[in-house]
Amino acid sequence: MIETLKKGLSMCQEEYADIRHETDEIILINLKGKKLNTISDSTTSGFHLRILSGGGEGSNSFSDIKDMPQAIKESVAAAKIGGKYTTKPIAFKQAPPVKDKVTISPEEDPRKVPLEEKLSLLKHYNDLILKYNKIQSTDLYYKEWVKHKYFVNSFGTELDQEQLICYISGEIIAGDGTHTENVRVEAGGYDSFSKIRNREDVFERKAKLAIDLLKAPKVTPGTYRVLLNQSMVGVFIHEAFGHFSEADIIKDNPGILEKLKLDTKIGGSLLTVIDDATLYGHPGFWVYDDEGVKGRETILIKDGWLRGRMHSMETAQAMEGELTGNNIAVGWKYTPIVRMSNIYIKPGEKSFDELLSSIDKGLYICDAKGGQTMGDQFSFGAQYGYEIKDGKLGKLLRGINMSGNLFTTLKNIIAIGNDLKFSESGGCGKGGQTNLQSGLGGPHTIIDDIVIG
Amino acid sequence: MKKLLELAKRQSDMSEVYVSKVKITPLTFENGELQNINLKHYIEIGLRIIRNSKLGTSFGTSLKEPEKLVEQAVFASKYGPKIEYKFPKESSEESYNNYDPEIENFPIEKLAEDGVSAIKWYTNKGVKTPVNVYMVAASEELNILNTSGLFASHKMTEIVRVHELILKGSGSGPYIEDEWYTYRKCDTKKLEQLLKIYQNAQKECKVPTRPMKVMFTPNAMHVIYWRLYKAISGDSLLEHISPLEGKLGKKIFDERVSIYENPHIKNCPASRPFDDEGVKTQVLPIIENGVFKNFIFDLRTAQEYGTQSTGNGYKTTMWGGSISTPVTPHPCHLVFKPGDLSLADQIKAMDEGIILNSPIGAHSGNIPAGQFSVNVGLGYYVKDGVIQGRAIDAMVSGNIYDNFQNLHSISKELDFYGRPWLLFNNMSVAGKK
Repeated sequence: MIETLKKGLSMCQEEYADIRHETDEIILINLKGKKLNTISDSTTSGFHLRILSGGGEGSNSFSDIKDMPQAIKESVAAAKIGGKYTTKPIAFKQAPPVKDKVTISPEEDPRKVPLEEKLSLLKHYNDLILKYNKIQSTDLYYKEWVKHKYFVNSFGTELDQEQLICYISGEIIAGDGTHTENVRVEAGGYDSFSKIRNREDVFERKAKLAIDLLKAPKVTPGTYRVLLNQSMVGVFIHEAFGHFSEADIIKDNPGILEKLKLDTKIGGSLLTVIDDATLYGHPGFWVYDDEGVKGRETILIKDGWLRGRMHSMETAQAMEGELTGNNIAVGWKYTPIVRMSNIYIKPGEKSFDELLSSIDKGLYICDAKGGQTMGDQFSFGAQYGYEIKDGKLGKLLRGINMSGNLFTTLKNIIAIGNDLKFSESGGCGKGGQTNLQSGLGGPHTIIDDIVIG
Repeated sequence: MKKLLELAKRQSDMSEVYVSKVKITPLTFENGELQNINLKHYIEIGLRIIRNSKLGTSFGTSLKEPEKLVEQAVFASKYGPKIEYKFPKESSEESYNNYDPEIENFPIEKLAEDGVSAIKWYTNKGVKTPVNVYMVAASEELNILNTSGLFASHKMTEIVRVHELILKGSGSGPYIEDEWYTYRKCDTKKLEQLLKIYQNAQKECKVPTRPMKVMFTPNAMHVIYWRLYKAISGDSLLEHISPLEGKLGKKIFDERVSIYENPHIKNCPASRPFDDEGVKTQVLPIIENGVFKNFIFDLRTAQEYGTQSTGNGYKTTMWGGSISTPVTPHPCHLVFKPGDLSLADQIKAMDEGIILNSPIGAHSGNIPAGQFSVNVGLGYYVKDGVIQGRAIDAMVSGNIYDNFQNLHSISKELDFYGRPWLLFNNMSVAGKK
């Protein structure tokens, strides 16, 4: 395949060109309540081509190799039009050319596990949940995604990379006839099937939680001091801050760029935030990104000071940044965009008990249930929480959603725990691309003055 | 396609081939600068086979290796769910005039010029913050073939135009969108509307924590629709998680509320003669004068419930869908019956309240139960019928089944998608004032 791609590349005489071929093999099993809803086995593949010419960038996603000459022609034309309508010509910071082959060797390779066994494991967890009387339904997925990517560019890079991710995720719905509550459940999130075996405790705990929530009162809207558990902290730092460290989001937004100049103090001195693609065993692990740049650790905030950003070759050139290897596409249909790999808050010194006992009145908020940002505003849900009174946990609460503004909230982080934990599976939507290779984590953290609705 | 079906037929009791051919030309201007143009041109194939009464599914991107697709579907079917429904024999060939062949090869420069002239218009009106413009020309040809004898084919095209004015120091701002099956000039009235929304957002207002009136603009309607989609789905009915179970023919909302599933609107890119299983689509009342009228079904849920598919089997979810998304019941296009108050009169009627323009976090909260809790995102604080400015640090929460019992009014005006401005009384608002 590398030779085919190089032949394609030789047809381009432009400033820069790269071609990626990707094959995605996906196995999907879905159980809805007692019923098996879907089993599918699929292989899709296609090409993605990028060309820089005349100050613009044109790219093309196509499924048929015979369309390559036409795709090149169209991309060159698009790039030239792009160049005509911009005052800032697009250029790429050159990454050192590399020739490499990346293979995977999971502890237990899911490809060697028979489909029947995957189905029976999923059914086993599903049965554990459904045995409870008040469980109304489930919606559980097993997903296995094997990617094989070939990449060449005109800098001389040639890559052959394999990636694999497998996990179980889904929803548990409890009901008492008048009311329903739902919680999410996940296990796995990287290349080894062993990570989703023997996880009965996770499914049982979540099933019981869903039932307990039926009786739990709804949180009273208002402004609170909150203690976030690790899953919430991960989503918070990903949603509220992480996206603004993706250089492509801020490159052409002078207002935000002004607020986010490097070496600006944006948080308390206890806050350090890191993005790290080299953390094996978490969803956002990769060796090279989708423009052939090696993934690495990037310190985004150090002791409250903004110190770094995540870049593509384009943004690194335009903003005079370092190459960080964060430009990822979720498949051949897409052009790469700047994405977080594994983002987390570095742990501090306080134990959970110390954090809890420092709060007179507040909320303990647990397990994220989706988040969203719009500009500097964010909002995300929690699956459950507890009232905190005089440093002790009180009653279980449901219906918790928190929101705020990035800049004020970062300054309102008042304590960080010592118990860093990563979420097992990740996922992030940006620019129409849902990236499963997105890890997040953090230690228990206290934030002041959070609006809860 | 025929070869694939022929091969599949030999290995199965029934089979269905789904082929989608897509061409997309998207343009993005950020702060007036044209970004990477990512053209897309591809084909996607879905194969469903029923073998020994069990369903197996596979997907691919090439018709050149039909053997592999069949082999994978046969493999999946060994463990697949038991199926008792049959693929449809007939479909609809009705055209809703939403295809223009010229859009298939629409010139990129014409899209770029359209964007540039809009940016100039805003700049000439004194807008100093970044203007972002998204333009898309897209076409899709969908063909469904099955062993019951069906051959259904549908072509659609669309031009999408989105303008967004970024609020100072924020990463986003108010936006307008326009979608049409062919190219049409940008309506200056729409640009003026956006400019006004933008100007109203220049002043920031803190909001008190107390119940007040809340207006959902058409842009905020997805908060309500996502909950309704879940509740009216045949899937939720079968799983006993729909709050609407047992409510057919009963009054669930204020009697002024009528909502229809209408996949047959002329010129609307989303209109469809048949769903993703080839079943003929239909105009269906969902809620009429406040009374709940219909659940929606695909082939599977209809068979399990003992009824007919309503032509609502789509490869889509709340997040959109792809070739590999399993078919589930989903509306094609919901539209409201207009109300009796003008938008201007609705705002005048707000003694104190919030106008929700682009809320954040619509996907959080207990969706099956109809609950929501969203950050106002971009919205306005209104006092004595006058917009005071942009509401900041505020959340709005509620439950659609309670809120629609406490509806103030539905606007006379509907947007292009058939969405009104809905004003509710006494909704829960949390703020920092």
